[in-house]
Amino acid sequence: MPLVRGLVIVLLLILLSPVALLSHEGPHEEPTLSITVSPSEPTNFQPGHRNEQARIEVRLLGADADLVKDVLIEFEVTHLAGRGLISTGFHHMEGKKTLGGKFYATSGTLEMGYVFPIRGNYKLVARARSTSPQSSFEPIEEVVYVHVTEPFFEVRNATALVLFLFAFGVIIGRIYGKAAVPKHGL
Amino acid sequence: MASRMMILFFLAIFAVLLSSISTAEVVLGEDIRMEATPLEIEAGVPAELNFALDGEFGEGAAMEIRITAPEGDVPLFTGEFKARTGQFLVYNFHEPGPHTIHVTVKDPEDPRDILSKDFVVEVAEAPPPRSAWLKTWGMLMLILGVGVAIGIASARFRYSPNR
Repeated sequence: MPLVRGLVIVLLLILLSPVALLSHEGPHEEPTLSITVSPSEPTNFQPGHRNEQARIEVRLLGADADLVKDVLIEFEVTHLAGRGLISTGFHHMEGKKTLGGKFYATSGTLEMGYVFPIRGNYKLVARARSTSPQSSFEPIEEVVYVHVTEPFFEVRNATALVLFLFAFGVIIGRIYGKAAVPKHGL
Repeated sequence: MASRMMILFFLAIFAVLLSSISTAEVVLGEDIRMEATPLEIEAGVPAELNFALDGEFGEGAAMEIRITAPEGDVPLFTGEFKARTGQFLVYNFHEPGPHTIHVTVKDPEDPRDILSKDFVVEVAEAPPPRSAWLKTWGMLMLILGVGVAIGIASARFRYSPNR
């Protein structure tokens, strides 16, 4: 009886050894997650003007440089509040999450078009995890920072306003200063 | 007795037909729903938009979401996703006014099966914080003040009796 039990155990070990070997076939190469924004320095939203969408693409590439299929991508865009003296004009958006969601990427890629609301720096975070046993991998995260600028005409208008205010101040100051100076012969 | 049975029989057939028609209406006409949290969307406050799919479009449907501003010709956001039973999106509206959220759902197995629906959300204006108001006006007053100071200094130099 102990002989039979021993034989069964040996047989079981022989049968299970390929499974054990397969499950420990060396270190897995983790896929790489990338976030690309095109154009690399987009402009922010301008009401009443023709705005341009920035294309955001999140891709999950495997070790063989092929797209990893059936993944869940958690993506979020957050504005980073700046410490600059000049205001963005949309204070209620500063430092807040502007876009986010959980998306199933069956082809391993997630594409979207987005008009960034205000100028400044944004933090783009993507987290990917597998939803299929065929493409199992440890959850990974990628962070990218994007700088969003004002369109040229906005910079031009702001510069004109600053110059006008400064010139107006100089004129007022000169008139006041001239009147305040004591005259000769008095 | 036989006539009563006949009437009941026809009524039953009629009821079955009616129920099948109403089921078809649900599948074709009311299978995209949107729930916004908070209900009162305010500019600058991230809103959670939940798009739910019912019926035969439920599993693996391709969902396209497009958000358009009140006076914008280009959508503020576009994306096509593989929705399972729905799609969850966080979006921060920054312009007050009515925004159109256009949702299109395609059946992956039959590309001719397209369903679309427009949701119009009214975004309320958010009052700017006091500190931000002070920052903006403070900056403008500073520029004006520097100009005035330079003007006074130059006038005193120009019209000084000792010059």
